[in-house]
Amino acid sequence: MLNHAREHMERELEIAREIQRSFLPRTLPQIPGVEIAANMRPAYEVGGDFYDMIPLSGGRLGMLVGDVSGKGVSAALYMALARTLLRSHSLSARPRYLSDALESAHVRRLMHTGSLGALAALGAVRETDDYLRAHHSDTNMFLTLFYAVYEPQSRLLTYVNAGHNPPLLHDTVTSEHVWLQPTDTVIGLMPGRSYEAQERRLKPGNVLVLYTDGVTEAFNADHEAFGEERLAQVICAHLTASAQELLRAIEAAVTAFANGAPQSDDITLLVMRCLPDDPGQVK
Amino acid sequence: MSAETLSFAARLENLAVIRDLVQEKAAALGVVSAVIPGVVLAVDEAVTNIIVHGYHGQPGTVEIEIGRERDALVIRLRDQAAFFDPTSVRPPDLNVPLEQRVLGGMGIHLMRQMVDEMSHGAMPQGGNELTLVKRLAWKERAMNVSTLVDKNGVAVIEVEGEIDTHTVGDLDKALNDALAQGHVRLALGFARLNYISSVGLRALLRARHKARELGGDVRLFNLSARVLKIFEIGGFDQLFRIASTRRQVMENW
Repeated sequence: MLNHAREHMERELEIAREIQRSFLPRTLPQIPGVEIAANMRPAYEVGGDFYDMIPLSGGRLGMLVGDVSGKGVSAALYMALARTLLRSHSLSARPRYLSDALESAHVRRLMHTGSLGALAALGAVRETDDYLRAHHSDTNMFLTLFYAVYEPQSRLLTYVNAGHNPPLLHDTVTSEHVWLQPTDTVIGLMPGRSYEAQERRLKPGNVLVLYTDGVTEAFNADHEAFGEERLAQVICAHLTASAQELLRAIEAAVTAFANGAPQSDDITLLVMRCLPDDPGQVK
Repeated sequence: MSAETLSFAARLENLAVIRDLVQEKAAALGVVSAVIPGVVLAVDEAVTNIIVHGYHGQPGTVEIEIGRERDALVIRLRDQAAFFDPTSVRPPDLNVPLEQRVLGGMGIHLMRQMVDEMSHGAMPQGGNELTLVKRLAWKERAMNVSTLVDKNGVAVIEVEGEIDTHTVGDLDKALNDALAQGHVRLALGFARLNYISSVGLRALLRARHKARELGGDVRLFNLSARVLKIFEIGGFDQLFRIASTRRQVMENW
């Protein structure tokens, strides 16, 4: 009887893992002037992490990292739905959101920098929130999300941080860093959110690290968390590393820190590195 | 990550290979190195018992299954030997001088010391299954919940430790129990809470939802800076009423 229950649980976890795996992008788009690397290591009980890269109009790139509250098949299904909604709304850029958005002084200010296409794509966040609240609020599930649209020509990064762990933007030239703090609350829960965008102009040598709480909340045997400071330290120690090398270095640092303590949450990382303008300067 | 099963001939010379296997698998499953030697010892004693006392030196096989289930390492040993339940063996009387002690029993005593749970079952087709469970040390008592109902009927639930995927079940149970007993006003004290994951936040949302449907609420008090920051990142500080003291949470309630 016990064996049966165990097999059942194993099977359910395998289904959840399969859903989660199948909703990750198979290849990452190539964008001029930047290097991108991404990876997810699912926990044994499968959290609701995901990442996505969406090639948008005008050569823009949408980058998303999200975390659904919950575990197992229910979290995986909610994640699959949210990911699909975000992707579909990003690509269709609904007129409703745009006309609403144009009413906003905030949007008019941002428009001067020419990021209207980015704002249209980011409207997907509000559309997704509307849908999830209208149809799935009884699950009490929600989603934290960092969604950024990058324009290669202008190096403009326009983003919404919906209650997600703040990504780290590090300037490898000046060694300064900034955390891209939440701009609004989580998705799927609270009515009346506008999910207004923020923007930053990136520079050559900037490194952007998106992650989920599986990284900063990885615990060691003494119940200490890996934390934001250690994450920043790893980045400082790998200033000339490629995006892929930096991603592996962060994963290795988290593994070394946990020192055998089991991984209790999915670990997801997305690293974007702006290459120097002159290829001759590449180290 | 699923359990792995291996089969060995019931011969004492296989013990060394079995010890290595247990060592290797336990490490791969994330068991902290400090507890692995004890687990290896327990399996060694159990297999020795099967070979010596179960099969009495006759040919047979020992099947070993090692896997992780939630926060525990679980090892199952199966044989086709005569029925023998080691858990029924009385612990040795350690006060009796060594030379007067009854033979046997000592290995089983050692096994009990090294693992957290030991259970025996007879297999339907004959033979025995012995299950050894070792809780992964770092997860021990990761969360504690205690509920008391104050004189105004508010259920005060103190949570200590970490709320994550592994521990959220106990929190869910405490919240549901309080609601089921008719307490719709729940005050959660987080003074000694170190961490709450999104799974924990969802459990609080579910309870808040139910409580409010019944005319009550879930309120929080005494959050550490670390936990408050988690609430703030997601915007949950706007959803829950958060007070700094228990006294404050009870005001106008």
